[in-house]
Amino acid sequence: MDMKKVDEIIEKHQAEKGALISILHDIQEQEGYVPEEALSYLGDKLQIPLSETFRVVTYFDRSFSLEPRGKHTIKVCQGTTCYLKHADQALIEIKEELDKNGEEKDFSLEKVRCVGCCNAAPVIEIDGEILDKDSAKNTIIKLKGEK
Amino acid sequence: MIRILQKTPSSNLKVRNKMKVKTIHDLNKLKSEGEKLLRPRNIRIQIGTAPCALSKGAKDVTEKLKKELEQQKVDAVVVPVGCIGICYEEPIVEVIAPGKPKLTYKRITTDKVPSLVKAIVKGKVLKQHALYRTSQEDLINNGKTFKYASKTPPDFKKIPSLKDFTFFHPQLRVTLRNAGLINPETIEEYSARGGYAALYKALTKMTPDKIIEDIMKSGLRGRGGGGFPTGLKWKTCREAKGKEKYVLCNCSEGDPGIGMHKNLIESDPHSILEGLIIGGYAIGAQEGYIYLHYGNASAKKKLQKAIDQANVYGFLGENIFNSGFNFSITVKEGAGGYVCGESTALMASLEGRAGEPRPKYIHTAEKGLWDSPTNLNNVETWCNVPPIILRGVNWYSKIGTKGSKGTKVISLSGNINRPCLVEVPMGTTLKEIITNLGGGIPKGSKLKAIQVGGPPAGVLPAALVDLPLDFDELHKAGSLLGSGGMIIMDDKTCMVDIAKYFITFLEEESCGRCVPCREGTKRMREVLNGISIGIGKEEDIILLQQLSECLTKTSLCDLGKSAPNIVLSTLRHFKEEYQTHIERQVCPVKRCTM
Repeated sequence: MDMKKVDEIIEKHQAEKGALISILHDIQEQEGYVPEEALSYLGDKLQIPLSETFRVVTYFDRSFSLEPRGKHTIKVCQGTTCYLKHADQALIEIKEELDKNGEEKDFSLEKVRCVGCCNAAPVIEIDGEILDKDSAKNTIIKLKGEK
Repeated sequence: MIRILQKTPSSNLKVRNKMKVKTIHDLNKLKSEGEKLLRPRNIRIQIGTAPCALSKGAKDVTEKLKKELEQQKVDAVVVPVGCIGICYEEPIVEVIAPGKPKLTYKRITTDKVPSLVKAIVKGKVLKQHALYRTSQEDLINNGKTFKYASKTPPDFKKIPSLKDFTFFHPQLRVTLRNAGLINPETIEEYSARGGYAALYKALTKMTPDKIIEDIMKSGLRGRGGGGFPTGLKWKTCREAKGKEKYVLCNCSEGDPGIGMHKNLIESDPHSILEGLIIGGYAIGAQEGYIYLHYGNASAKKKLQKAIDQANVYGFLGENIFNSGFNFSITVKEGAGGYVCGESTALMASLEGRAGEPRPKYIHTAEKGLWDSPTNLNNVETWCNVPPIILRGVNWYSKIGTKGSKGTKVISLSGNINRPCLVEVPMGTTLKEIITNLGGGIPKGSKLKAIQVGGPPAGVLPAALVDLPLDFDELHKAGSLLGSGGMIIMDDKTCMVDIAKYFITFLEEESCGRCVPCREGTKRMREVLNGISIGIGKEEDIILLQQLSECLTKTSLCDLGKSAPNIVLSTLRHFKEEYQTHIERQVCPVKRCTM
């Protein structure tokens, strides 16, 4: 990662108190992960020890990742309502759909607890869009075809 | 956060100053602008675009609608609105034609759009999709009414009126007063329905002490779960010593099975801001923070837009309503974690640190965010503040029960015919909510258990369905009102499996700081797992009870303290199910694989 980009992000949040998490969100969003060199650079710039920045990144491991994530994020909701409507089965089916024709590196699959749309349970979120199981499968097929 | 104030070039300073609302006259002007938007001279078409509608394809419907209207050369505006609560009938589209009552249509999918537009062109009603018609709506904020039309055309009369539409009968929508009725991205429409009038009253006619006195008298209690009296909380923070004070809004909605805060922000962000500004004035804070759960990009965008508008019109910034009071609001996104809904963990995360709770020997009202006195309330509590201020304590304290005043927003889901977002007066029974609003349990199933307020609430058996929504009554029954995510479980649900599900969730969400919670939830999960796969032993039940007692007594924060509730409540009400699993290695509903 180009450290100039990190400088720009720090600049953007200059007026904000306790901005570490907001800065990390921006890095994660731009790069798809938080590179280690950015973490130590950030530590120097903000006068926060690396141990602390590292701790925040690993504590919130659902938001931040130290390794690159897939281009498309698939979140399969495992909230209570979705669970009652067999979200565990939905997770297996989505995995199968992804594994068709070999392993997929473009996708990262996550289990989440409630995306807040229980009327459509079981819910699957692909790149921020909330879908039911069948439309999620169709979207995966579409995204695979786009490559 | 970048604010429009900082971004706009200084040459526009005069224009912006002109827009500032300083007097009641300015506010009325804003209000009439909003009324023009809500009742335009052409046709206004409203479409729900909250998460519940989007999941049913509202985005495609909007595009199709715009295209079709253009092709048919209809003079109409298409406006996105929030969630009206009838989530089971989405996508919902409303049509407001000048001089006619508003028509609400259900299930308008893309293939239904052409026939809807045809009906609009002819000025007719699309009968098979019509839900109800609205001639006028009550404005909760000030007790006045908002009229769409004074006459009802003959073919409209065949459609039930808003008053005859039974879904709204048990409801009183105070918090959700504007949800689904206005475009959440226009401050004018919020103002047209009585918005920011409470702020005007508070800042120009009331002292901070009088506001706190009113909130105390109103009987408002925290809607986040604990039910602590809001006025008392404010008073403690006002009296705490400190130059800087903060007011926070908790939108870290971690409970699984609850989407109402997200819907509320997406439907009516200004009502949160208005409540927060009034709270800031009463407590003596100059800065407010709204803490959002991570991954809510569209909610964040809407909130930020609302804050920018409030800055432009002078409801935020310096010398609001010429009162000398300055206030700013910042939206901050968390980074996940159920425990970040806990006050001290939330504050740690706001400061940019790992979201771990700390012991509360010193209350956050004295030393909270950056060690300054801090007042934290949740979204629903803040939204209740403006109507209390504007319509007064007498009006508010008549709603609800003796110990629990006002209303409660309930997000109803699970094994139910109509998942929906509703708001009912306190005291409404669970049965009324399930049958009258939720439409009962799907055919072929029976009600088995109800979870009222997230994992800490445990479960209630079907036999207790006559319990009212009331902080104290539910507490007595061993449950909690919580934040109001009500989940209905039918007779195909295995209670051992449910207990295992929740304990697994809590084990994953435990921050790991204190041993009882970190190790206790793990051990409980192992024991429950053993029972569910058929290797449970008779003494496991005693072990679960002992572990529960340990967690309740010795955990650091409420996550650990309340974690055993799900196990204890299932043991209390469904013990025979545990015994069948242990003694006969059978899951009565065949959910667990032995």
